[in-house]
Amino acid sequence: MKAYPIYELTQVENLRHLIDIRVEDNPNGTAFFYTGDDGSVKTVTYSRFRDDVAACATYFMSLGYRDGAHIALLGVNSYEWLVTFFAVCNSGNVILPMDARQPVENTMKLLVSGDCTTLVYSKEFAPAIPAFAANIPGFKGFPMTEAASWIAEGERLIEAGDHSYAEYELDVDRMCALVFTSGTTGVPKGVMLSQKNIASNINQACGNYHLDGPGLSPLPMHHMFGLVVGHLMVFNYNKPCYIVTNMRNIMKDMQIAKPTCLFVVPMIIETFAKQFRNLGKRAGGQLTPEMVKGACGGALCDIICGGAPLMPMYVQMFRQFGINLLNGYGITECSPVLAVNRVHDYLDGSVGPVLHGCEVKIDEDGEILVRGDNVMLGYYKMEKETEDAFKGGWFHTGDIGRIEDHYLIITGRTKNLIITSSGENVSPEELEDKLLADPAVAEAIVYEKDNVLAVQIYPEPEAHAPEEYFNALLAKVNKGEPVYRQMKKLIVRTEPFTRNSTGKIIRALIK
Amino acid sequence: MLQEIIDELSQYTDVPPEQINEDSNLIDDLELNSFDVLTIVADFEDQYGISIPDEQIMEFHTVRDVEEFLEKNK
Repeated sequence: MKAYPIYELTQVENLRHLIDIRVEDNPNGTAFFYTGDDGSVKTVTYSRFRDDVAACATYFMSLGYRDGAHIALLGVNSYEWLVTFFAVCNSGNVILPMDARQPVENTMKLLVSGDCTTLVYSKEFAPAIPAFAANIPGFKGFPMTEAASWIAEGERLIEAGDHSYAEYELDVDRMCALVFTSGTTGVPKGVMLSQKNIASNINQACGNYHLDGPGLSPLPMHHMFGLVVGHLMVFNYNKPCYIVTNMRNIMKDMQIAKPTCLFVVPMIIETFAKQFRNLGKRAGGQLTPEMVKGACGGALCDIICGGAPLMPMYVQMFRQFGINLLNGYGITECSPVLAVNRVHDYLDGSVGPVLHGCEVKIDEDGEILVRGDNVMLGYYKMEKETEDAFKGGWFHTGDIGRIEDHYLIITGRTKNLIITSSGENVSPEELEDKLLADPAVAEAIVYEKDNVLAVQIYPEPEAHAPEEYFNALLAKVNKGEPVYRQMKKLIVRTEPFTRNSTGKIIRALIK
Repeated sequence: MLQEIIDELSQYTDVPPEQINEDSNLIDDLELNSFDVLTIVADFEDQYGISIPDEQIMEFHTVRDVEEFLEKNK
């Protein structure tokens, strides 16, 4: 495949400018649409969205939330979530998007580490609010069910002459979002992102792809991939963005939204593959591209997939259905996208060309290093970690990869590197990939135990392979490895590994 | 009811119905991921005309858990 020019769109300067240029272009166009609690489809125009954000921001500013106040946002995907996000970021304050699926105790801890005592929450979290109030001194909660009244009050204030939001001058280099990474190891870090970081990533990512119609993402908005790629990019394309308020309704939502592009993670691709297989069975075994497209609303052309490694077999499978499954790569610290395959410029097994405006190099240890306007300001109140991450003036992603032609290929993570007693570095993923190539292995994790390499395997249940089978497999894999990379201990698990909210195995739990 | 659930799960997972029973674990035995469980729950909601709260879905570990909930609430 050959590189081709990037798409030219108006360059977004900040998140307020993002709204303003859309309103200028297409004030009455549909910015967002979603299915309301009553089952009817609601639409919001660009100008309505701008006015709701301005009113909501004015309301919060009138309560004293100014000059970098921290406000956490906890809720399932909704229009109100987006209004609150923009209102907080665009009024000089800092939004802390929280993972709605994590235990409430974790959210409380993150609020404390993020110096935040204010929480905007959706109705599902109302029962937990007394616990927040009891544990966080000075806690103040705002239920999103009251968003309409904040907006009404903000409109009244604006009409009465309160121009504090309109007159507020954004500093694009200041932190506007504090996003906690749901890492697989260690304590969550607060990633500080500025307006410039997010706006530049929208520009970079939009240049690589062209959206022709509605976009839909079932990914949670607190996740930077779900938010920036799945919603803000679609908004910037001047195309309707469908808000999935409940992930379980994805198949129905696709019939309503008729998206031309979906933004997903690999777990959702696996589910789609099962749904389509089921569809084929119901139709007597023959699955056609028309049936697949029909199940996805009828207009689907592309799927952009990120967040975790994607098995290339799925890319090939979707290609047979006439759908481009474009794998990409990002990390919260980079706001988040770094690379993505393009419709006419792709390499299976890679995460595609690096985005324009993003400088990537691979250091002598194979680690992927990045420079660019999309790279975070640093980790909140973690000077040592920030210094380590920016050693030599480049951001260290912690991922290992290589560039082949102009495609980035991810091969592992430095965070998981095992340093053997002989001082050798072992990337567990490389060994795990060799084991995972065997059809009887569903999951495999390599780790260090008592100074030797150990592996835990969770077998593919349908393979019904006995333990001897895995001993023989280990011997076979070990045979091709130098001594320091040979796995000496094997545990065959009866249960799968525990995964975090983004579907990654939590290595820290493996002993 | 149990047979209907088993048939639905068998259809979805490709695991033969005779290998699915009340004690089958949705994730360990049937290899469903959390998103699979959500979409299957959406199918059951349509089939039985009920609404299953999110917090209830987190309590669905085995086929029996699903069966007991549907029996009580259908």
